[in-house]
Amino acid sequence: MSPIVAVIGVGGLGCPAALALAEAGVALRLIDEDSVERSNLHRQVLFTDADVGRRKVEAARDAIAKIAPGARVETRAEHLVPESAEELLRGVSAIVEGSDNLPTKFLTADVAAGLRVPVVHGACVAWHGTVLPVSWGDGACYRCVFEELPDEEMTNCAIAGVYGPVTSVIGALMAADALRLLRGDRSTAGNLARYDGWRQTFRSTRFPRRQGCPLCGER
Amino acid sequence: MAITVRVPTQLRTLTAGKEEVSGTGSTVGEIIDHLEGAHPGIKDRLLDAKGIRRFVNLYLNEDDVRFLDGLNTPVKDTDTLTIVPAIAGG
Repeated sequence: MSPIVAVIGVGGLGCPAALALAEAGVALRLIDEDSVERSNLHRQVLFTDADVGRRKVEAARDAIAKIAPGARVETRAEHLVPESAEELLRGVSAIVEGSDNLPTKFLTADVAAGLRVPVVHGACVAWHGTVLPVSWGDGACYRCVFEELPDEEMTNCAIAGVYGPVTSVIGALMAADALRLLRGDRSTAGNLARYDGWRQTFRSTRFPRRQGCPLCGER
Repeated sequence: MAITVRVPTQLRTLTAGKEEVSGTGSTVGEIIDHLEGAHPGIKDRLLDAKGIRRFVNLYLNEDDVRFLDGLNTPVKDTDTLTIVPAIAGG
């Protein structure tokens, strides 16, 4: 039985990450309620103009089937919400989280901690992107680095814009981290990688587990 | 002394769109105080009553200041302070 990876958010990050994982022989569970919009096409590389209006998970499944015949892809056309998150993520070997909002990122971290499933968080705004692979017990988790949900509205790509090449770079890095975690290599766990596509710089900082973290603390 | 401060997209409305600004002071805390004078409102986005806001990370060059001496971390002219808040988008 091949490992199955949940991809939360089939957008600018989820598309390249899902494609790379499928090509590597990893089974996928795609989770996203949204439909393809024309404004997505410059960065969401699995979709074409003909897909506008279709569910992203279905359009992505069909695109992957053409590029990687035989790939196993499950689809869940729903948002990750507290009521169903655990059921949606149960049974997966790893999670790739590229959602476009902070509440989903924190919810993913919380549920993954409960299930003890490794997770790779990714995010992009404008020319900047970050990747944080998490393996429970080895280095920091999302709540170690970003402790709690901001109480103010933060800028996201819907406001600030996002550049297609940057999401493809970050999505590929997320897939690479997921493959490493699936192989049991935790060497990058807890490393927050930061990519600046405008300045062409890449930095990585290793975070230790934070004392008192509600997810990494004593259980 | 003056150091370079890299401002994330989220906060550039406070710096007239500038990605980099100059900050003066001998510690990270003093740099932020100076930034507030030049770019009112930025301090509140970085700090709360307990110190650095929980969803914000401040890097002095390559190091997160929470692993140095926090707001008391000394700075020198060649340093760069980078603000990294939690972001979402993709």
